[in-house]
Amino acid sequence: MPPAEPATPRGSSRRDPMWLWIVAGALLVARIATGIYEEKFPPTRPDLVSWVPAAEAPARAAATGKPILYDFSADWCGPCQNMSREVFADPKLAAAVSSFVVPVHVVDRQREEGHNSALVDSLQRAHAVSAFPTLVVVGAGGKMIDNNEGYPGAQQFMSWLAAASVRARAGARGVVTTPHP
Amino acid sequence: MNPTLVVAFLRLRLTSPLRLGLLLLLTLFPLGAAVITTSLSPLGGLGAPIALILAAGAIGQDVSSGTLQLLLVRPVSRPSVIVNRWLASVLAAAGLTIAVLILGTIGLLLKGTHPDALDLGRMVLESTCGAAGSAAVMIMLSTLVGGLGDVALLLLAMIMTQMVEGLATFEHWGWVVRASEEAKDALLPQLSFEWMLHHTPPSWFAIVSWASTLTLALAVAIARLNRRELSYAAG
Repeated sequence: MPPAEPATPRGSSRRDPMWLWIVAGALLVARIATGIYEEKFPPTRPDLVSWVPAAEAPARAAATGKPILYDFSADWCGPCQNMSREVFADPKLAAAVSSFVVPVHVVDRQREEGHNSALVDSLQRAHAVSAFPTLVVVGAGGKMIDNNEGYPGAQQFMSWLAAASVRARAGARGVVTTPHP
Repeated sequence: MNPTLVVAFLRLRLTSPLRLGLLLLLTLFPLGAAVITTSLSPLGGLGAPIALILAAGAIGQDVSSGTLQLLLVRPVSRPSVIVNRWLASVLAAAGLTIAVLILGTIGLLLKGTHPDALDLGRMVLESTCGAAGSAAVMIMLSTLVGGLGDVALLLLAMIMTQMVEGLATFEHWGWVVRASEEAKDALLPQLSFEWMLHHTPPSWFAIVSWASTLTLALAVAIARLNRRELSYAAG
């Protein structure tokens, strides 16, 4: 038995619902407008990593037994912003970063202010930073465990960080260089 | 909503051995993977493919077999056929996804893992929105061609978009890459609810894009079916 509608529709059974076209048109206009807006002002997500000031990091590392992660970045660096959005703003990944290492955010202000603070300069020189982002894991006693130039994606970054952290805790000696993830 | 139309369409869909087999394949493997990996991640995004299986040929198959002509003899408007078939696909896809997520949760609880309630809610919402968008696009394509030609049309469009995007990326044609991404999103409209977990404001562009594709697809489907000559004589 073919189904029947509860109430017989009035007028043509082929009438286009005008309201649907109006809603579709309005949404299309809104789509273009929000697209242009978000292209200019991308939505931001808060950084969830508990960054430690660079000066306090060695003491914190000694107290917790964790290695230090230096994240050298700059406000104008696109990949740095991607990493912030995909890793540091993700609750699970941000928590993992804080559990693996003592995280230190070192922001370059050379382009904006013409110079960096003495601490930032000395850290950049000590770790031979020439591009952003540069990530350096430093173990007990200030020995560099591993470094990585560029942002390889959230998953690979986390694998790299976990491996470097394990090596640091195992008491790796000297500079260990691994291929970039 | 016309419950009779919804139930009749679902009865037709859920008694098809091919569709049932595909649905089982689509749900059982991710369910097994979820239990083995003790994570509900493999069950994410199930709604869209389930809706595609249910909505494939929703109009075209019935036009080809002459069933739709018979149905339209009754006092049923063409727009209501479209809307109710879309609704039936979405409800069934959402129901199946929820059932699979419940089974997955039980499996995880038996293995001693407690899934996050907020994450579960996000998966249900994403699957339902994915199902609503994909079903609307599939039904629109189904009004354009007969039989299961909509499936071929969707696959062809996806392959073409992928090829154009690959070429544009290689040649560094920024606006073509962007247009291809938009076309891909329009073919399989999804809506992410990740922002719920991050406690951040949602992307209004993503929400509006999804809603725009959905309404446009339904409007085009209705307009196309309204203008189609459907009679045994026309066939």
